[in-house]
Amino acid sequence: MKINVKLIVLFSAIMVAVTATLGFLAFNTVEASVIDSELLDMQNIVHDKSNQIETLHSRASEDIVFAAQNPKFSDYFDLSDTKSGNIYNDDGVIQFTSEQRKLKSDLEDWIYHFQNKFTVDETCYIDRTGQQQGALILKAPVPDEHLSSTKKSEDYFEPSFEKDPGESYVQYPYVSPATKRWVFAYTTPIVTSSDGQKSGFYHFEMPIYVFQDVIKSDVGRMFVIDPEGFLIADSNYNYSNKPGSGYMGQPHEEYFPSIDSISDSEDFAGIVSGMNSLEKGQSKWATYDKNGEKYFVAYKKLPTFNWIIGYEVPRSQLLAGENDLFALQINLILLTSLMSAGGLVAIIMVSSRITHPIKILADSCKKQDVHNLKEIDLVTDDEINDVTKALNNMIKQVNEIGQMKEEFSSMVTHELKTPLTPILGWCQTLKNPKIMGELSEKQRNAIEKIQTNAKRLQQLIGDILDAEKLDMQKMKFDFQEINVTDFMNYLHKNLQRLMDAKEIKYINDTEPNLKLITDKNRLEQVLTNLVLNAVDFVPNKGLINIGAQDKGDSVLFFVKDNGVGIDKDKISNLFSKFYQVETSMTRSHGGTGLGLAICKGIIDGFHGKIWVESIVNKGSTFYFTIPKDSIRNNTEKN
Amino acid sequence: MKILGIDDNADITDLLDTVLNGSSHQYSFVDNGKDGINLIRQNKYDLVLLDLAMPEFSGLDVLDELKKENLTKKQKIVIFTASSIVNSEIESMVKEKGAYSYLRKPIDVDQLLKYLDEINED
Repeated sequence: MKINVKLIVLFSAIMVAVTATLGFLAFNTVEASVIDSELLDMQNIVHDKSNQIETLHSRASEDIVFAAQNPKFSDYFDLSDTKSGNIYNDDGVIQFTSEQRKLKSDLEDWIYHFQNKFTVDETCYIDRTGQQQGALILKAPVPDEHLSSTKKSEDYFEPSFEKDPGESYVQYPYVSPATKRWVFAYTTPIVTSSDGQKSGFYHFEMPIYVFQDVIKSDVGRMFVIDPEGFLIADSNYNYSNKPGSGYMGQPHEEYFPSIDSISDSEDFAGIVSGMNSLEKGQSKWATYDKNGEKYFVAYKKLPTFNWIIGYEVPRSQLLAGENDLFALQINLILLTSLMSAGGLVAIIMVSSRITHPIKILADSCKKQDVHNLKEIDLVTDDEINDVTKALNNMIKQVNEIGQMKEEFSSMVTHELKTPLTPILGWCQTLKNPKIMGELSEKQRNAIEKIQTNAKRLQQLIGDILDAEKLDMQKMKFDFQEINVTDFMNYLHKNLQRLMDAKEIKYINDTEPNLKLITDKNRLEQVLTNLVLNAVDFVPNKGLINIGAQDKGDSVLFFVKDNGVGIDKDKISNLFSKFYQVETSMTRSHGGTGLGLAICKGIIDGFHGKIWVESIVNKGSTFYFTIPKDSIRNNTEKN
Repeated sequence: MKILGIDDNADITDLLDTVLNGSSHQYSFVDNGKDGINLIRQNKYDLVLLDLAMPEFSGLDVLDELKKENLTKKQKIVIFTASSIVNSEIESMVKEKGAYSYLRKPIDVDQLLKYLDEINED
């Protein structure tokens, strides 16, 4: 991966991680405070509702206490003919005296007014005995044997003359005998005489759905539970509240849903048990998980019946109305995106500033000519400058070494050549009878040996020098037009003497009138080298075939022999320096192992190609081509 | 022909001495360029055989000095060089310095004798 891509990925990852973490922390902090304030709101609502319920109770209680002190009740109970009970006619209808009728009518008006205050149509009883017997029913006459249902709590009303006048009691829910629906009731004794005799009870039934109206809630779920685990009221539940929807003696479980309908989880059960252990009027809140979501519950114990009012809101709804929180979320996302985008731009700029000089450096290095390294012109204010300096230092040293190598080899070859001049010169002179006189056969042989070896040394020095030049790409060519046909004839003739020892058949197959612009001396060097190799590898009375053909754009030369051939796996290394197919062959023509490498170097210098086709034990053919426009290529190159 | 050989290598001047001994040419040798220039100033030679690689005062310095004094064309100057530069470059150098021709080292004695005869006939 490229450095700038790496940097961008790394920085992006860091930035995303940092902004995400900061965003998450900020969001969480804000969310926590939002939830705190929402919880406070929930608790306030719970307090509000509980106050409303308590107000309802206290208003009803105060009103019936006040009603019971109405002198009309005393008057009614003082009437002598009512004390022994109601008077019924033959059809069982109560018969009232005119005075009774007037009082009854007044009371009915008053009760009607009283009921209106609560917008309920429930019955008011006046129980003369406190034993639920012979009650004076002022409205909606009903059978009166069931003023209450089964006892459900301590606060259950027990009509008793033990209760003090001026006190009121709230009665646990039951099905009203008058309207056949679930009600709770308020009761207070009526005292008619100065000695404190309790002549009866004033009894007011309130339908239970009044609570439903109180705990209505648009958000979340509000409910009232009793210690038995019944949902007395539930904003999520549709209680049937029409008159006649219940029946007398109906069990609670048939009408009220269980608390389990909110949640049957252990967590919630724990919360409920916590609710029940509260002191009256005390409030708390808790959370539990339902359907994979967190629910917040605020609750308070009501003073009446040990009922508990609860209010639960799921987290999503708790935060749903929080537009600020939503805006914060949007802002955070925007901020993160902006920071990321800005950061990305910055990183791209920074990384390109880092990678640009590296690219320049790499490009300068790629362009370098290995034989003439140029210092890199790049100045930066970072570590890349150190790299450039180090590279330039290296380039300087390499160039110096190259220079030294060149000087050294030129010096060495010159020093090696210098003694060769007198050696070879003296050999020649010694062999010249005009100068030195006749030599004996032995002397002549000795001179020949010295001369042959000195020449070989001369050849070696020449090869090394050539290889060095080719290596440094410093070999220069003398291009001139030659007649290839004449040249090949000359070469054929000139090398003929080499064939005598092995009686080799030596053939020249060159097209007539073939011309080429090339370096004659170097061409001769290549062909001579190939022919000398062939001489080494052909058997006695073998065949060597040289030649040249016009190939249009180029001239193809070849040197063919029927010698031992070359293994396929050795062909690829054949033109490498110091490589010989068999080292034993070195001795026979005394090569340095540079011969074919030099041939390849020279042909490369001509922009030609050199290759070999060989079959083991059948012979090899070395081919090379020289393009006719090699001089032009060479000029262009220089 | 009157020949002057300038070469710091006594083995070569000895060799030339031996080779030329049997010939009809007059010859003398010096082992440094400065003596060579002095001799050229004072004498009339037909041919100067000049080694290029000599310490202190090289063959090229000799040629430059002779050219400065217009003495290069007074006689034919043949340069000996062991350098491996290509023919065309040596030829252009020979031309520029006002020399006559060149011979590559190691010197082929037979070739040298043949060459001297050719020059003599010119």
